[in-house]
Amino acid sequence: MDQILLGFAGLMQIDVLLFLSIGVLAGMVVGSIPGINDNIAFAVFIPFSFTLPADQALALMVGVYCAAAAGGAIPAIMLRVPGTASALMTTIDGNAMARNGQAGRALSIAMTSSVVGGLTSAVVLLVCAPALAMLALRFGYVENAALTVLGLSSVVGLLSGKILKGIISAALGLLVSTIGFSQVTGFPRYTFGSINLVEGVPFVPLLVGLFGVAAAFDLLRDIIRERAQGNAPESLPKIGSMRLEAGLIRRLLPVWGTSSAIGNFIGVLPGAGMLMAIYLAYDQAARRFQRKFAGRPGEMEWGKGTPEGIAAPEAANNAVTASSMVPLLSLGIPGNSTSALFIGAMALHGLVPGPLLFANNGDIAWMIIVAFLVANLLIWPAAFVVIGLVSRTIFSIPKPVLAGVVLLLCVLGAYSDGNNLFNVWVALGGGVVAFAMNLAGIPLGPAILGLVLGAQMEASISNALTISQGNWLVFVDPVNHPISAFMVALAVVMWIAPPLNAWRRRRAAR
Amino acid sequence: MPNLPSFAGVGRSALGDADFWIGLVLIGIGGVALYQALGFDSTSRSFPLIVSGLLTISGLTLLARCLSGRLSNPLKRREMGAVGLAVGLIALWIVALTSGLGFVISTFALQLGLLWLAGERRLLRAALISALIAVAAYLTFAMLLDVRLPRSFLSFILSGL
Repeated sequence: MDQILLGFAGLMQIDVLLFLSIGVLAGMVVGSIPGINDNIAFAVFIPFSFTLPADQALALMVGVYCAAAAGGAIPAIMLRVPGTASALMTTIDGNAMARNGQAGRALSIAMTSSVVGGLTSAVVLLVCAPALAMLALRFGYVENAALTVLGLSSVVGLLSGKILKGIISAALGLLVSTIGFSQVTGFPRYTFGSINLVEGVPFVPLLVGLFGVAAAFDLLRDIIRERAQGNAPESLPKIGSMRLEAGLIRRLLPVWGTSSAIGNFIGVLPGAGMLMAIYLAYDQAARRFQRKFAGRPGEMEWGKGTPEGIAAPEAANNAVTASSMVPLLSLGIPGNSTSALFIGAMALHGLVPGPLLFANNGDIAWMIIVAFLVANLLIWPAAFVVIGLVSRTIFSIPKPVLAGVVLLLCVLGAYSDGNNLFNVWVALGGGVVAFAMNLAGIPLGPAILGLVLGAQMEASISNALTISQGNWLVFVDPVNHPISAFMVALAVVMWIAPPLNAWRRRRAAR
Repeated sequence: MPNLPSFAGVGRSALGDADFWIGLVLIGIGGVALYQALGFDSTSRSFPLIVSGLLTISGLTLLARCLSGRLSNPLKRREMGAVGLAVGLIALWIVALTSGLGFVISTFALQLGLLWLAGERRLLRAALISALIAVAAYLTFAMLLDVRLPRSFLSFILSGL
């Protein structure tokens, strides 16, 4: 309880609260720009956090992260174009409801669902992260090595038949993590004589490139595609009343509960991401709708403007935001791509996520957790401002202008980390690699995990083997290292389960 | 007897598959990393050797899968072309900044190029938008955020030029 109060004390300073509010408002605005995803929203704000003290900068980034996920629903409903990938499913029922003359109602359902989902995930973060961090503090080299293996293995089950490409992605990330001085011996590796690579590939510029620059390239590609298809923009629907009646709230309560639970569960899994959460939540809501409401008089068909079709994905995507920070803050393993970018934002201020964060910078760690709670409460007023005042202006910004501005902000963000043009080359290289990986169908998640966990994995395995005099069985010793043995067993299950399931399915199909 | 694809046919179709090129690049990267790792001291090389070996084997597997005739991932040349040009523009922007052309002029040219790439063909409008973005970025980063932008040999005329 004392720590929660410490977090509130840190957050309730006027300047910190002000930057959290600015972050929420800015995240909502950026999230509501069609084509700008959560990662771009986060990447473009990194340069602005440079000049701020750590608490204000991280409050700003928490606000951006939470609100961008919610803001994506605004163009999804008004224009049938998801502002962020996480609002993909909201376009279906959201825009249909808006075209039925109930845009205000659709927006209100989306924002309320985002707030509910976000608040539940903030509670999950509040409860789980410190508890996991306490456990992780007891880890030695053996357990840390097993943890990194488990972290990397956790994405295997999510690769759905792309095991080889997942391995390629992870190997690329691990290889990049070996660049620079070895953490074990201090030997310089793969520096090619460049002083810029001695401490490894600059982390923040690389992340800005992998997420921000690559996403800006995607935006440019989409513009060219749309121009070739000759898509004409649709007129905006009228917003109307945003009031939600008590009956509708009662009807949506079970959907919010299920979708928030799905979002939270997916959020804490490293590498799972928001998209899986929204698909699962949407599917669950569809089943419930078919069972309870389909065919009733006056009831819309599924996909034609039902409130559940908006509430489920929106509650799920915001439930991922804070819960994806659980593995990051407690174990140093990013839950999704945006939380990986959060590592960069923290690194800029000399903070390293993981169990030691709570021991060494407890005030900041608790402030971040509490900020997630407050940011979600600020989403509603920010949504009113953005929907009522600026959304029409935002929608009128030409996409070609947007692509140029986003690219410029990303490369300047990379440059600002040390005022070094080498960082811009790194960001550009990262953008090209991520774009190529996307074209080739290679998932980015394993590469990020490899990048983040590589150095820790190498150092922990090496130190554990030194202490155990080269005994590899130390990692599966159930007597002296039961946690490590459990984590290795879990990792093995994660590797075996997908091919086993595929084999079973093939056999059943015969 | 079923018609088997000829070697030449398989080769031609493999060239149009993204996985073929990705496989080649991975073998190249993995091979170079493997060769370099052999020169590291015995403790420092174990991890890079394993990782680069894994990358090389994965690249070989991808290539073999592609050459076996299982085409899965056709190259999207048109999309790659536009993004390739954007990459070239940013590279030129970095070179211009390195050689002291100055932030505002370089950024103006970069934005103009990106706008043209994205389909804006009205030159005056594109020039106005580019100038606005370049000046706004300079004011935000140099003045507001106090970022030290690269020095320009034209700064004696106007700061930031």
